[in-house]
Amino acid sequence: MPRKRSDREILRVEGVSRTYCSGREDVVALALADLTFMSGEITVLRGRSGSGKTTLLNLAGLLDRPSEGRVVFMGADTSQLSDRTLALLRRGNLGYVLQDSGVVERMTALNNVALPGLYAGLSVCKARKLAHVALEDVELGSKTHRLVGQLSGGERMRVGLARALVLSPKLIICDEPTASLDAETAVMVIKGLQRASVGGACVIAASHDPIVIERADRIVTLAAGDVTGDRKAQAGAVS
Amino acid sequence: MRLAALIHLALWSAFSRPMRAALMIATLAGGAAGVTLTAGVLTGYARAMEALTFGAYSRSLVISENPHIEDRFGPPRIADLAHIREALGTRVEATAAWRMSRAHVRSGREQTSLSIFGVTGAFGYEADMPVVQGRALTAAETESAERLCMLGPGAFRMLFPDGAEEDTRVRINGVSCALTGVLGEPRSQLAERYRNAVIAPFTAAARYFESPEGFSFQAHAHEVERLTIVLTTGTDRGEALIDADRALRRTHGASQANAPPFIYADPAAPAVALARQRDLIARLLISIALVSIMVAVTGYAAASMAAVDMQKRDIALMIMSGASARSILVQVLMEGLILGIAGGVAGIVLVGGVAALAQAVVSFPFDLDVNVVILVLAGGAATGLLASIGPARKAASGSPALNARA
Repeated sequence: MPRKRSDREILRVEGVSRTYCSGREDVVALALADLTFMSGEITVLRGRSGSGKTTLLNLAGLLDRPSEGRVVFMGADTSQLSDRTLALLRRGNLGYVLQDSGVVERMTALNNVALPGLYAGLSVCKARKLAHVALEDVELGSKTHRLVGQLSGGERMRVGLARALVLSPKLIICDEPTASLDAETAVMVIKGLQRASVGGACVIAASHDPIVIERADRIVTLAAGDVTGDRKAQAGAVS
Repeated sequence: MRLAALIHLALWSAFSRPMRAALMIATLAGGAAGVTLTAGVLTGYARAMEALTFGAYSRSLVISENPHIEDRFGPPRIADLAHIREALGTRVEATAAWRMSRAHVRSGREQTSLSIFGVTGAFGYEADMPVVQGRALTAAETESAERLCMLGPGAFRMLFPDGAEEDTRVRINGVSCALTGVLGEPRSQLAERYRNAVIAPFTAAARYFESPEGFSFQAHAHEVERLTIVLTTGTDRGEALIDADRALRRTHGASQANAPPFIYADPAAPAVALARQRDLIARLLISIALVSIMVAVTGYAAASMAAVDMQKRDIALMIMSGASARSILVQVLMEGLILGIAGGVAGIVLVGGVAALAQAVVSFPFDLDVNVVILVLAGGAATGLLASIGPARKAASGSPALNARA
């Protein structure tokens, strides 16, 4: 029986599993996960490589469909939605921060950050204006017209962050957002995520980085596709 | 997604890899160049033929003296027109008889030597020129012996460099003659012969304007240089020629067993020869164009497919930024459209430039019609669009979750 939705609930996964076909045998990447993610909350997914973190992020980010169970985003059961409706739901409501920054190398920083606005139907001028503000927030206001390929790793990650946050999405999906970053840039990234969270966004991040974990509100642990732990984080605690 | 944003992204996508864009444009430019060259040369030939066929004049029998037989019959005579009209009946649309000589022509202070054409009948089929001043000789005047004349535009400029007033007279071989009108620029290649000439009534030319010593044509007043018989549309030219020949043989007492007493020229013959040449070149050029198009479409589709593979990650990131599969599909199609039009423009510029350079060195028929330009641009756009359908569908169907991490 479907649970009643809380006002703060952004995403709920119910009995979700994801199985991939690998040759003759099926590989269970995620088994029967039941999780609810609230607005204003930073959740960190922990687990070893192959534990199902990325699979859960793909499902939560509406980039993949579960083999079983359902993913409810802002009250809508996404398993019933067409690809086009899913794309419309992602538009403006979801932001992604990837480990390698997830930016388009041959595009300028400004055009990268303007992408969500353009696809959301804003005019080129308006989308670029918003992008400019977002880049200034991550201290890249002076490098807006540089090709991303010419920026450093840390700067690229900040461009990726600005793009994820530019339309103030409800849900931000982060896959190892601070891996391979220097401490200063990592703090800048996590502070950006915290600001979004305070603004009401729900942040789900797969990370092993203590800087991220110590700022998390909740820690979900996965092992071999199962959710083995789900607890509120204690301020400043890194386990 | 707004159109401006779509064009913005398609332009970025098209030119973010300049070498790839150049390759794709060059591929399409090859096809466009093939089509432009084919169409340009064929249009050039068509225009050249148009200038040679002279409209209704191409349906004419042009009868003149046969220089290859003993000079027993001499040139045709003006009375032969009536015999031919009688033999051909309703198959005749118009007739004209011409004689040509040269004369000293004088107007006040200016004097020059000009061709003088004496004509009776419908001279406008050959002298296809507008009347720009005064009036043309009437049919009745061409059959009279009145001392009247018209001047071609070149002749008029030579004789009247400052222009002429009404009721102007010129002196042809010393005989005063009223100028009825001035002709404008020739509208056909054939009419060029009247540019620097005087046209006068046949009898007047024979009686008054030809000098006693003559220049190039010494004939009796009733003899003509050529008879022009314009046939009605649909008349079998071969049959008409046989009937006209039979009538002329009877009149001049020439046996059917001997060579014809006169030559029957076909004004359309150069055009027919050119048409044969055109058909041969057309087959060659159309083959080149077809191969060019096939190579262009195949090359473009392959390059486009490869481009989509190269952009797999970028496309996944765009989907994660809010693009739907449809947005990506339209974006890739728009990119194909832009590159297709660019390829068309490049092909037209290439062929236009090469043709202009080549025409400066050797003369060959080439005419780039505006319709051809539109057709090639539309073809380029359509090729770019059609060749992008497969790649666009592929781009739109990839898994963003996998491709973004590729």
